[in-house]
Amino acid sequence: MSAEQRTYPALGRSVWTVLLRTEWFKARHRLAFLVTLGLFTFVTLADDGGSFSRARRSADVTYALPEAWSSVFSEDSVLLLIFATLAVIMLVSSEFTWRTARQNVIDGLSKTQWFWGKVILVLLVGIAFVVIKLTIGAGAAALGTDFATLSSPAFPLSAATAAFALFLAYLSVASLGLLCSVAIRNSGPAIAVWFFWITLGEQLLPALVARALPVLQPLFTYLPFSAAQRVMPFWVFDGAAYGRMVEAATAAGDQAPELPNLMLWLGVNVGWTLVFVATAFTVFRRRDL
Amino acid sequence: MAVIETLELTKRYPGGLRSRGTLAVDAVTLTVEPGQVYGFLGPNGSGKTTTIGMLLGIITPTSGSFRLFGKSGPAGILAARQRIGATLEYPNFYPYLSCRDNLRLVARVKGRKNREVDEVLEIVGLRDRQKTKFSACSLGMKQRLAIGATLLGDPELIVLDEPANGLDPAGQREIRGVIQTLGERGKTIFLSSHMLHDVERVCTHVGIIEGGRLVTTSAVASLTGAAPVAILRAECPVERLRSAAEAFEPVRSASVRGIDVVVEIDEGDLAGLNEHLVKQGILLHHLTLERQTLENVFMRLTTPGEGFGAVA
Repeated sequence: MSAEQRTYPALGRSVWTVLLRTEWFKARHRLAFLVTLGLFTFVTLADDGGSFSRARRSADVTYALPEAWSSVFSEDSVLLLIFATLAVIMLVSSEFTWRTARQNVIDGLSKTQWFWGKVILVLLVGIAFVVIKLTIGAGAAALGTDFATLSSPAFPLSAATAAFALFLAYLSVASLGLLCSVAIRNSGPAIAVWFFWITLGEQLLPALVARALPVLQPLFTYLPFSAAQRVMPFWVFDGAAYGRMVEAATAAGDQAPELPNLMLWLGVNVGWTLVFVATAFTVFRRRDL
Repeated sequence: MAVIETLELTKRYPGGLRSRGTLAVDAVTLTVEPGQVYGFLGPNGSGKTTTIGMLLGIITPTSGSFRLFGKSGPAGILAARQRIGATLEYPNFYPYLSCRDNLRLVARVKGRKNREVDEVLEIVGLRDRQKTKFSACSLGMKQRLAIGATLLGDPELIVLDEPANGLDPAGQREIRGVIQTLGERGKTIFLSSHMLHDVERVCTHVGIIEGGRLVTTSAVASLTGAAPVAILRAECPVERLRSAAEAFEPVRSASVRGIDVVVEIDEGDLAGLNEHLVKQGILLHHLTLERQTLENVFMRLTTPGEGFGAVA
């Protein structure tokens, strides 16, 4: 962007600030966003609140920090990816249905600026959902924690790393949602295509293909939704949590999973995000509004 | 420096494998000077909205070029568009936001302060309904909101696409008044409309587009300033009436249009023409004076064989 494009002289603000404020203003007034965020909050409350409640009722069950991080960051976090991406698709594709994307450009945004506004929206939605997840999960666990007797930190660095990894996982899946939105330009079909991909496209089809060509099986784990799930469990980031998981698996007579190459899987998630955002940008730029 | 300059501006929408696509705009070259109220006329599907869309940066031209305020190239055009207020086809706003919040968003995108939103709400008469959600607005309110959004930032060029669409006569009059006021304030206005009568009243210049081609662009006064013509009808064969009329010396030309004869003659000579025809044994039962209107010109240029243009 040229210097002329970067600032709005009347306000003395950068275009990034304008895009950030505009996108957040639109999102927080949009019922679709509030409903998905509300539903996610309810589901998370039911899950973590349930764990907290069971711990209160039974002396055999504990739900306290730092052990509770394994419950906060688990495979169940896939719900965050689904709810947040649905919100992204509804927020972005409706801009085409209502022709407000077209009007935003008429009002003075370049198409590039408009697109970056949507990337900012993806980040904002992700932050909102991750904050909800952390607040409820850690909050419920903190209520059952006796901080005076803790032998290890209640908020370890590994929890922050896990939260960051969850955010990266969200970005890869949500950027696929962004691509569906700008390519299809209609909420219903965009959600259908995205949902088809994460269910049939990444689950059923690879299973069928792998049955015929087993050699391809390892490649399917690198698909976006599968790669996202690789960086969700807390034990991937925390040695103590991994130790507890191995202990539990051994006691149950199961084979403990190997620690994945964390940098590789984080890189795969970042890679998918870049691919989807770049493709969405290209598709968006090439088409008239 | 012209406000809008297009040179051979062309848009072809891609078709299927065996189709060359649709030529929506075909080498349109026009110029809009500062202070002009330019009416852009054409039948449905003639390429008006596509042309405006290219100027506003939402449609990419297939070929040709344009300048806004003398600027060209992506960065120049983007900067020039900060000086434009425009609405295209329908009022496009967020249905779940109020009129005021929608204007606040537009103000932010245009880099304007919220104070201007209040002023604009006052101008378009929506101050009392500012909290009404856009989805709950009547069509008239939506159109007024769209005009309000174009006024934010006090733009030098205002582009309005069918601003009176769907409005009742009172609403149309109101919109016409707003456009007239803006024109009097020296704003350059590019107005696409079907309301020929309104365009004739408020526009200083017009361009008429048909099938993607600009068929004429001129000052309204020079298009409608031609002398009126007389329309004659009698019981006798139409060719006899034409030749009899043509024989009368003050008649400059006479031609057949359906069952009528169209005669170019000064208004003061009409009584003499009637007397001349009576002497020839022709009794007129229809004699009217048809003045040149924008509608006549429009029909002539966009509908072959229609209207005033049959006079040749």
